[in-house]
Amino acid sequence: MSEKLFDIQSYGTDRSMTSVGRMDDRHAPHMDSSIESVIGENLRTVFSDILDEPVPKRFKDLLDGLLESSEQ
Amino acid sequence: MKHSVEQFHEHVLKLVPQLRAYAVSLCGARDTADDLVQDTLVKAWENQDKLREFSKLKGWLITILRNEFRAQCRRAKFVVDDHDGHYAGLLVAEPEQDVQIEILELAEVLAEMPKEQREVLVLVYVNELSYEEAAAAIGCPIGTLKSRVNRARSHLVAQMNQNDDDAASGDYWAALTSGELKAAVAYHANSVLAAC
Repeated sequence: MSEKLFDIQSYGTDRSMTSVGRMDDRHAPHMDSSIESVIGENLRTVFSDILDEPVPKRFKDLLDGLLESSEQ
Repeated sequence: MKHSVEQFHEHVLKLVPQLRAYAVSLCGARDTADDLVQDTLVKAWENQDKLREFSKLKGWLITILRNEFRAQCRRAKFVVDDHDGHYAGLLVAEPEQDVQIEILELAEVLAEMPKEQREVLVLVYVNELSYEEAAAAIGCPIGTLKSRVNRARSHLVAQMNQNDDDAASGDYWAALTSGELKAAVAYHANSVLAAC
């Protein structure tokens, strides 16, 4: 994970310098663009406490209950 | 091949954090967001036979969540506040200070941007849906989705730069748009360091 919002270290030296205008826009997360990946990484960091948190018991219990009732 | 109930259970469980993140971006508050996720899971479970392609599970769940949110808004005449700045409160308090300040700033920019723009950024960059999936979830043409993402991205970068007190911050945006990536990154890295 990037240690800084726009961390120079997160840019691999092998990456091509791709301008915003030339990005392959079919699948944004997979664009060959370092800017894209940095924006994505930082936006995910904003939500990282939720994304990295284990699934709360409430949801696990709910889904387990639904599974059990459907198997009966 | 049709998925089994066990497969459905297993994969939905794994996607709960994704749903929570998207729900928080819609609701702004965590407890409301989790209630929305709960309703989404029940609805998804009841309708799992309608899921045609198991590989599209994430987009399908997100679509259900979004529809559920809209239905609840209509029922409750719930006004979604675009400018409540709740997002800052969602962040963990612990990480290194320099990172935290930048991310807080980003969270604020995200909270204050038009909700249509915030939504596409979350769907595409946080939930990592393809443009096709995100457009399907929102129910808009893919061209609309693409231009919305572009606008949102420009808005985000411009706002982040505006927040930067450095008088030369325009250099970063100029470098970014002209494709001089290294110059842009070096500039921003320096301004981050200077802020520490």
